[in-house]
Amino acid sequence: MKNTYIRSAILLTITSFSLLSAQSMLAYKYPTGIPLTSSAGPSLSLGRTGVAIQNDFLGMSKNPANLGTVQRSVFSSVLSYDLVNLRSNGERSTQSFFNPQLLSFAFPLKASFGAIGLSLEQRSNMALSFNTKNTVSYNGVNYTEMLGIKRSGGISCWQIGYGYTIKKLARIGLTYERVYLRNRTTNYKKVTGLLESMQNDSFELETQANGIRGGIIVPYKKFTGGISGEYFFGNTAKIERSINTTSTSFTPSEADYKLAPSLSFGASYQFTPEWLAAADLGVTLWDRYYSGFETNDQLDNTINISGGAQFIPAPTLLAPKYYEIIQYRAGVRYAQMPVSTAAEWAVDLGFGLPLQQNGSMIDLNIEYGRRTDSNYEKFTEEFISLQIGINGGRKWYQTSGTSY
Amino acid sequence: MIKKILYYSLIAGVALLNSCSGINESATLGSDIVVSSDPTRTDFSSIFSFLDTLAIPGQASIAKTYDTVIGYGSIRAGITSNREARGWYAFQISSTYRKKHLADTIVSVQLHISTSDTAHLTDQIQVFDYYTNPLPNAAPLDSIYKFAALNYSLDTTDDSAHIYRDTLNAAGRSSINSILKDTTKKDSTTYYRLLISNKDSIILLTTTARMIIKYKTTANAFITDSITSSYCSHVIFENEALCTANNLQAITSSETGRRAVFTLDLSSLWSDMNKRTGFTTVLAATMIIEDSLLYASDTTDSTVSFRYCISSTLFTDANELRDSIVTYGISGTVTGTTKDTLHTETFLRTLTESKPQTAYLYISNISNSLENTTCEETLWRNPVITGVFTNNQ
Repeated sequence: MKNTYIRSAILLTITSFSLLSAQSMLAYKYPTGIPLTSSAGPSLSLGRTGVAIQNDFLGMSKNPANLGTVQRSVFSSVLSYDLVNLRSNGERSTQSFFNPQLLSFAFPLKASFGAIGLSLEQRSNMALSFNTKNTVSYNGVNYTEMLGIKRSGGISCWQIGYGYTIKKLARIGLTYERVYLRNRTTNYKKVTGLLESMQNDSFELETQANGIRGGIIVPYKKFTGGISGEYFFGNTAKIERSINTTSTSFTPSEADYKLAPSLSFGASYQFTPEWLAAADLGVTLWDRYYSGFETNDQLDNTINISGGAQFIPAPTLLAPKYYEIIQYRAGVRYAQMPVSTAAEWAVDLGFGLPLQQNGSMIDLNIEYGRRTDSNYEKFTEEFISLQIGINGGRKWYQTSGTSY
Repeated sequence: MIKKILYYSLIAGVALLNSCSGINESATLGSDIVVSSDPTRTDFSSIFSFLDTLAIPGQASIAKTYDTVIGYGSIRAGITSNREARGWYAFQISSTYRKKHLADTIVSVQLHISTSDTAHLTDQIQVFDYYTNPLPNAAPLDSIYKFAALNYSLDTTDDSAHIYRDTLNAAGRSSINSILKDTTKKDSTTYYRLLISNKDSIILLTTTARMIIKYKTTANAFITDSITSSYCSHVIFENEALCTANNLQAITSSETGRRAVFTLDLSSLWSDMNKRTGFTTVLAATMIIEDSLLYASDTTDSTVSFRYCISSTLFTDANELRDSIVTYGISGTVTGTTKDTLHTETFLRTLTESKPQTAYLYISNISNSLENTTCEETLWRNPVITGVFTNNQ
């Protein structure tokens, strides 16, 4: 018990150091922040591929049709610790961020009626922090003027979905999702010296939207193809402005708002029981995004491409050594950002560590990537993410009809 | 085993990343990105603009029109340096008074008033008795001089006790006799009050006095009871000559309630604002002002806190100011001749809508504590207001 307390204290301390806000300055121009590729543990180190991978631990994260594969109750969760390195003209600034990204459950229904799923996930991160200073002299006294921006928020959502297997032909799935977007941006002005005061000019945009996701997975021998799409219905967003703590008027205070729909295609191929390869291609239609609060001419449709491979040394051995059943994975991904001049790429390396006793698995992934914008050639954002996926599964009932 | 490996790997990984990262919360990179979205966001000259020094054409101070109970919790009496202090005690019938019947006869009443202020010890103090209900919050002190004073002499039988005492013969003191005669132990709403004065220097008296009552019951038994005062207070006020002189200077006093007032010519502020398009907010405005301690009744405690506020209304009565201004500024401390910094932007921002041509800065001393209130006067001089405008973009 004592050890547990000590371990918890260590982990909590380390985590608390991590609870500093990460940021992407490039995301200042993206209306919903940096898009986060939602993935359950097994797809993390496959470059986030998974639209055409049949794995019950993936739940609905990559394709709602994957719910059709669920034969036992499963859960998946993903925690991510990110370090972001901003580089500009030889200067460097590092930010870190710790956040839970996904919590997913799936439950099979009796008599092959398919499965239902529930999930909570973070879709985008708007955190950024910026400040700049200037020293001036007035009447012989030196003052420091400071201008800064702090932004927080992003998109999070919960989903409920249903998946079904149409014999051996295909799996289909459909989800309803409720999306929450919050953007709190504070522009602050500060003067220090003999004069000392600060003004916070804050904007807070909030909206909730309904969305649907649908998907299909078609297996054919060793090949599997999949398509997944997401559409959001229009809604109204509210914006409030306050200067310091005093609420002030902002026009318009309400406006139409619609998030960008997306479509993904995927393919996977099981070469042997040891080797699996997968690739995804996704499109986000930012030209369908609409916000009545701002002009969005700079936004452009984006594509993202990812690929990855998995190797299990001895998946079929009856008495393998532990390292022979570890799932070794590697992947790469490329994603355009919501403005046409910006993109990010990343490489992933990870392991799926099975826990033999109960069929659970822990996924560890490390990702290195860069985000750039050709409009700001001297500015880059490097990121290193350490992610852990915890997956568990258990059959809650035994199907009848077993004969001896 | 695998769990341990995973656990310690996780801790080591996070710790390693933390230690290698050189985490830096100050994010100064990315100004190009901010500028491309809004060029004014990092343009200091379009966001900060210093205002011309504000003209402060007048200074004075305002006194209270009547003396009020402001020395709650301590008691002083005496005259010095054109200031007079008067204090009073109130006795309330309490459970220590056992007189059951109105027919019981008061034989004698003895009053004990003590002090530990040996520096201002005098041979006698003057005590006036009066009784009114309810207890006045604002006592017009001059009006209670209608009773003749009794001189309470310092008890010389015990040099260490420093007690002023007097035995009031029941027949000689009609007021106290009439109260106690018509009172039994049930009359807990009955008060008896004493006003204390002193012809000599201001003396600090203890916060409780004691009344010892001897009475004879209808059964011819003699009983002695003691009542301790339940309330004390005092005021200190200036004589007319000092008041007239002080009115002309920016003086604050913690006990006479005098408040300093400076006249601010805001017309220059508004014209300055109009000259700079878009700069509609006073981001910061600071007043630098000199203060010096004019007088302190207790030289061992020469610090005093103060409050300040700016209003477009000219108050001619310090009581009116106290009642009208809800929000005070930040407290500070005066410790002799020094310069103080008063942040005035909060007040000036409230005036940017109405744009009055003149406003008034009020400063008042506040007591450090209830138990050990000293009488202090502070002189305020040479105020200068500097500030910076900003826009609301």
